[in-house]
Amino acid sequence: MPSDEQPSTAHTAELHSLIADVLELPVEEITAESRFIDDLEVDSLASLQIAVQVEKRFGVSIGETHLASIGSVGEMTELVESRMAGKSGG
Amino acid sequence: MIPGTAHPAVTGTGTAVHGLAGPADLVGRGDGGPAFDTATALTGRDMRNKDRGSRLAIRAAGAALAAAGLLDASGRVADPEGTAVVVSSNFGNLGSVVELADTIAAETVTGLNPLRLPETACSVIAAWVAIRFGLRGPSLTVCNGTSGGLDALFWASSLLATRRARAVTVIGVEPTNDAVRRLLGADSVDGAVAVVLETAEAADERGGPAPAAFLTGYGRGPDAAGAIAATGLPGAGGRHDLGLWLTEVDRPDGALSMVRTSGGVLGLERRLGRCSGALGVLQCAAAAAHLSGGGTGPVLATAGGAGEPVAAVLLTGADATPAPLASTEVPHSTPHVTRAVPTTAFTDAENTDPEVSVRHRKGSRHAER
Repeated sequence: MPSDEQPSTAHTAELHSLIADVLELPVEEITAESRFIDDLEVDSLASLQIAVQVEKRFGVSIGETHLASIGSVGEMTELVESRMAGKSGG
Repeated sequence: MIPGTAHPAVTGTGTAVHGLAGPADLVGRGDGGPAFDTATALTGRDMRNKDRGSRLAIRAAGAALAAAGLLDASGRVADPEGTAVVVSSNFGNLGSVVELADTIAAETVTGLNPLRLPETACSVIAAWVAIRFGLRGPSLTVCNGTSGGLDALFWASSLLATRRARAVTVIGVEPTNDAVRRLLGADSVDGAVAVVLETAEAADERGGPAPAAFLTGYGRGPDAAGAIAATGLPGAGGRHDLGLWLTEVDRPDGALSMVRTSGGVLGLERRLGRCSGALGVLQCAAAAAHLSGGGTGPVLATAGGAGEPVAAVLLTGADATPAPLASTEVPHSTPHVTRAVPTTAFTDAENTDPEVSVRHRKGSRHAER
């Protein structure tokens, strides 16, 4: 679902691009409101692929249990941002 | 095609070849519809985690199954247990294997994406087609050189004759990539084609479309002359009458004196580049388009030669289909057998192992796990 919303954080655009690449979707379809299961039809394997790529790109590890609780792209963005802030803060 | 059984009918065809709108384009009978574009047609949710060959095959199979009226409203086959898939491809997963090997060399196995590991099996294309359309009948992959597409049509016919399936989706697919280009050193087709085979009776019972063509003969031999003779092609004085002869290039060696063709000789590779394992199925789809479009039959398809064995398939239109041959011997009922059984309609004239590599997998349950 295309959105007029602009990337709101430093890593949002990069994360959206990463998710679009993994899911083979146009990046315009990836918004903060996109639900992984309902909107993007992400299954467990695809979500694992996203987690692996996030770890490679951002150095942020998302555990399997935590991964299952992430419902939307926006939630994942918040998680990545907070983990990265935590790392840089010390 | 198989003694004592009804000739297989072509009830659906589909192509996924860049620049072609459909099978009719192969014989210049296209209606100018939108051409298949690999840049846009091979993306989307249903294409995730699939190699290029599987993507092309799914698109072609979807078109053929839809044309045959075998798909239900959900886009899956209405008769899962009775629908089989036979794939012919020689380079289907070569690119994936080379790419994964390069990754291992550069990064060790830690660099591999486990979701891509199925691509290392050449049967992955048939498996993805089975999963996508819900096929639970036999699933075969034929890797047999240039004759592989025509050989795949024979094995599909065997599945029908032995009642292992009520309908068979036969797919010829050859993706192109750097690995294939390096190996062949020539332009090659980047596409897939699919035909649905079933008996005319089965198609009629389920209210399917009228057959576009019938497969009435198959032959195989060390050269074109032997393979053509083994199809049972009618003729007199040592020369056979054809409506159209489908070859690799325009002038096959050694067998021209055997035939008279009112429709000439059409070499599909002249336009498409090397078609390899896809060639025979492309020829079948082209023959169906020719015959259903009012072209004169019979149509002969030959593939192989230049050091490879040659296979030949004879196709006729619905109005000129001969009665089934008397039953002399029914070919072996287990498709994993790697040697053809000689009969009057199916002759392995070279009398050596035909190097048919047929992988048999019962249904698609294993792949669905």
